[in-house]
Amino acid sequence: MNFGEEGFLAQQSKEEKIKKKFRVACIQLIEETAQRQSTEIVDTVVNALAEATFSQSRILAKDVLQFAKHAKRASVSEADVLLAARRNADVQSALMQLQQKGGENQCMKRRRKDKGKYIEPDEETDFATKEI
Amino acid sequence: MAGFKPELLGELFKLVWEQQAQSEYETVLCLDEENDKRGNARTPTASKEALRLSAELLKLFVMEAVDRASACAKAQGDDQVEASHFERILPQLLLDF
Repeated sequence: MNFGEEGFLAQQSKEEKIKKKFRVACIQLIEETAQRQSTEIVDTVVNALAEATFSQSRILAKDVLQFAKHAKRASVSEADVLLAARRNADVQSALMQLQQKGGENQCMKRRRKDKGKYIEPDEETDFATKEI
Repeated sequence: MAGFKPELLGELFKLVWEQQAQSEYETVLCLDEENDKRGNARTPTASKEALRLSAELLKLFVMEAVDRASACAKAQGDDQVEASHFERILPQLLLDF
């Protein structure tokens, strides 16, 4: 870790790059969601929501690391993220469903490896190809 | 469908943790050399599954915000979602996440 001024400046530009990519993804998601609901959102609100989401993700990063440290782990796991979602039961159950689907996918991959039979992955649960 | 890439979140998490470690180093190191020698030099990581769930969590945050703000706008009879609608739903949104 570089703690000098150069390190600080390098970190700043890294943050700007990440924030830019994040904003792009966020704005795309906002516009897609608004389109599906046939509503229009003014630019100031789109920007404000993108900022709020970025701040929320920073808070999430700090929270999940603290949870992992509390459990005496060096690596953040799914359990930490689920704990971060504890405030809203619907959010938590949505994440748990996603987690279970991910688990099923893993099982199918393992079966393929063991028995040599090719099993088509379920289209709905193939998350690896869904993200843009 | 649009969403957040887990890899991007991984980079963001690492950045936040570095910044956090740096400010801890500046305030605490002089007093806590034992702790630093022991294990804080190891940079924390996040599992792929954790990043995937985090991406989904943030996506839910955004979608929920848009849903609530547009419902608020419709209830007031406005066609566009404006700052006042967003301001109205923001407190409860932040409490729920």
